[in-house]
Amino acid sequence: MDDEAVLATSGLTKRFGALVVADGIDFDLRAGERRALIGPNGAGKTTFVALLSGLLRPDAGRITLLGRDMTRLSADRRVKAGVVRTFQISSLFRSLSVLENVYLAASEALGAARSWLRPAALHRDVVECAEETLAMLGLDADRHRKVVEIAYGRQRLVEIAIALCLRPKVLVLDEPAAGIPADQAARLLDVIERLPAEMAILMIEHDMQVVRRFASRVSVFVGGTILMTGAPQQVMSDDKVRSIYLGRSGHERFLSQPPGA
Amino acid sequence: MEILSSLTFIVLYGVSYGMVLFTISIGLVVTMGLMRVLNMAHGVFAAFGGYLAMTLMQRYAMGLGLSLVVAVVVVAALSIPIERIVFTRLYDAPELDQVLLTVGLAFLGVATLNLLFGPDPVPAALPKMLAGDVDLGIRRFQVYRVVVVLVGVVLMLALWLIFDRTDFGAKLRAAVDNRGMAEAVGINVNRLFTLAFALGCGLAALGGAMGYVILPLEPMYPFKYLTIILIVVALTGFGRIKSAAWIAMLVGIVDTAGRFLVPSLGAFLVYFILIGMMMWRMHDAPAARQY
Amino acid sequence: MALLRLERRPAKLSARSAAERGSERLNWHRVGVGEAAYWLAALLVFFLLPQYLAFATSVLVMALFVMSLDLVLGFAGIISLGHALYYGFGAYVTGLATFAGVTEPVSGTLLGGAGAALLAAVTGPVVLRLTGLPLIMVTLALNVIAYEAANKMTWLTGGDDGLYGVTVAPLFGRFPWTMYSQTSYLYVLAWTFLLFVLARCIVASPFGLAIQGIRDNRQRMRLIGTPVLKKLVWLYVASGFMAGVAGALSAQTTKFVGLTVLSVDTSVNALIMLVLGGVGSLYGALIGAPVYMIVHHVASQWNPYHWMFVIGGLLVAVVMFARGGILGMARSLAAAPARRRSRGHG
Repeated sequence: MDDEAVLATSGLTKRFGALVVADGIDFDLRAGERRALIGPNGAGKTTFVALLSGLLRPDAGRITLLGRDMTRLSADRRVKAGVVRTFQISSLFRSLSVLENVYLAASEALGAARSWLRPAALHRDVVECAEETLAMLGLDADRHRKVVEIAYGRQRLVEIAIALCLRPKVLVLDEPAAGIPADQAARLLDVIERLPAEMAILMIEHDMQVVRRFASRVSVFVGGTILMTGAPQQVMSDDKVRSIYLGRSGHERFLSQPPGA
Repeated sequence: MEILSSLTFIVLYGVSYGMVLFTISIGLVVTMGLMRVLNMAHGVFAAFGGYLAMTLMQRYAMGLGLSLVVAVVVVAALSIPIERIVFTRLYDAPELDQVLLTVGLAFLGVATLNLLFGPDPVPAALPKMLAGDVDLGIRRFQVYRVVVVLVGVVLMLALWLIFDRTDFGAKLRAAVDNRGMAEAVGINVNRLFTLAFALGCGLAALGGAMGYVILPLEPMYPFKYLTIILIVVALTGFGRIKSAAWIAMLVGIVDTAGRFLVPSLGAFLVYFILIGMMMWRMHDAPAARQY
Repeated sequence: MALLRLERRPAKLSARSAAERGSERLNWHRVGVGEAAYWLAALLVFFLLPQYLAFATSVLVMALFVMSLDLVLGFAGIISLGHALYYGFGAYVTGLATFAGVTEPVSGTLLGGAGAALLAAVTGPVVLRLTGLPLIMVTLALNVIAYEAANKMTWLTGGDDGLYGVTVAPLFGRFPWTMYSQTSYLYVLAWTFLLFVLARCIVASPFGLAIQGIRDNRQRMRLIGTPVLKKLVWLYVASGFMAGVAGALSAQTTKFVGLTVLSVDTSVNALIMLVLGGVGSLYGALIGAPVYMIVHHVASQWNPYHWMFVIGGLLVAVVMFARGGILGMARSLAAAPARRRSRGHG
């Protein structure tokens, strides 16, 4: 395992009966790195993220965050330690307003969540943090609306807002732009690009354009393991990856496009 | 010899008790698994079935078998409008609403039973043919209890046949597993709900009628036995039809054993074990997902 | 680590617009006029209805107990059918404490509350992991176990006959406990008000909002770093304390502790009172209890089964038609003119 790694796993394994969904995964992510996880459906990307966030317990292996063993840590402690994830299918607080959703995250991050005497609205710092994040994502007009009442695309943005408020060291995005119309996706990707440089970002993505634009390195998942990790160009032109994942025509399309398109 | 005699006593009493519990509870297991409704009023159907059968036998001198059949059919038929009018509203309602509404229905049911049948418990007199004892070698048992066990076994087989071998059963299991998909495949889920509910209530009526000696009939019946019925359902998990019989028998045996061996503790034992089992199952993720 | 700033907006929450749209929880700390009216009325009862003070005291005690249930059930969404466990435990602790020599009222009350809080701290981690039917069953089972235990332990609890001769020293050394319940009423009113304020604070705080979040989406709360079980246990302990205080007050004002304080009947009655008044708004408890008890007092001559028709019908009616109980209906009546106005403008 890399000493500079902010997040690392070694030999991470998970089985459901006879089905091995994670097969001894060795992984490391450095501070400030932008890593994309790609791979066919069922390859184990989402399982890997679930193992990282603590929703699944591994059968074997270790997870470390900044050198500290996180394997036995509960999901909520991992968030406090700095590993935050978003969901591919929005999982928000449906009966609460947009502002209240983000307020919850902000109050945890700022340590106000335990306060039981002082009214929530009078914690000015929490309110400001929430409102700033909403403004950054263009959600401030919706802030008093119930989450169920806003468009799905904007709900995805609330997901991101919650994650950002938690000041993660490692941000794990599970297909962040899935289900969002193009213009909002552009704004979202803009925001992601301008996140602090120290924040390591792990993104599960299927859209190769997004991968090329965003990722400094790409990890390819196949059959519960990481097939290879490298710079996007390097990975895409690898024969093995090409045949398993992209298919010949997809690879050619990728190579034929000028960078930045 | 004494120990063996006591043991078989506990087992037979427990199993016959469990069979009655199974018959009453299986309907609830199905409806809770299928419609995801916490129905606190289930005992009303059991009580009503029991009362109806008793009235037919005692006031109209109808035979035992016929009374049972009539009681089951009447209760099942009555359950259909109730399901259509009241329970359909509960299918996607919050749990609290379900509990409150069905508790309210239970209160109404108890008051109605009192109105129709009076406040006194029904005397647990057995018809002559069931009242005698039969010698099973180790000790003598009431014919009635042996019959209850036999009926229970037949019922288990019949239900297994229905759930595993018929179209209806397959659709039921599919809808319990994944309602959305079942609808998407063209299963008329609403009609399925109504039929399943009617089946469940009919079975409850059978249990109430059959078990009137073991669970004496009185207006407060739906509340008095609600807890033990819910215990069986809670331990079984929703919709896990096959386990229901074994769990019911286990509960029956444990309860009987407790009352017999340690009378001072009485009902304690079941509740303690219940809590323990509930906690244990909650740690077991797949079982917990049943809820 | 600074978050990227695109624009800096001043944080302000316009009160009415926030409430109207969806962030109502961030306005729960604001005190309304109707609230002052309620507590004033409660105080006026002391002066205007001196002959009913004993009854009024029992009503307040119940209201406090129902309020504790509202925290757990209405606010946190934890369906408990056995909350009388904490009420009864508090009552017995205080009652027995007087036999042990603790007759000073305030310490007696605190003792009952603390005992129940402790019980809640122990049972909470067990109960609060569960949801749905298992939760209902376990709360019910705990209640029944306690009742049966108290029933059997006649040497401690007096069993069926109950604990007689609970003695309470004069309040603050000066105010004796008269037959006309003057001291009782004001004492109970003070406790009820204090604990109401406490409940109000909890509900409007970030902790309270977190409980709402847990109720809405437990898993997600974990993934924003919330120690879910711990928070729920704290709420449960607060509720247990309140229920225990109510039980203690019951013991001190009636000078008696009977088995009914631990019965499932009491748990279910509290639930009915809460539903009647309106779940989840604290005032529902404070309204539901008096209404129920007054009606029950009037109907007590009846055949008990007819009373069940009333309760059953009420529950069904509330769930099907008047979801917010009495309070909900009052609110929608009050908001009707405003809605008409906004529709005219809209």
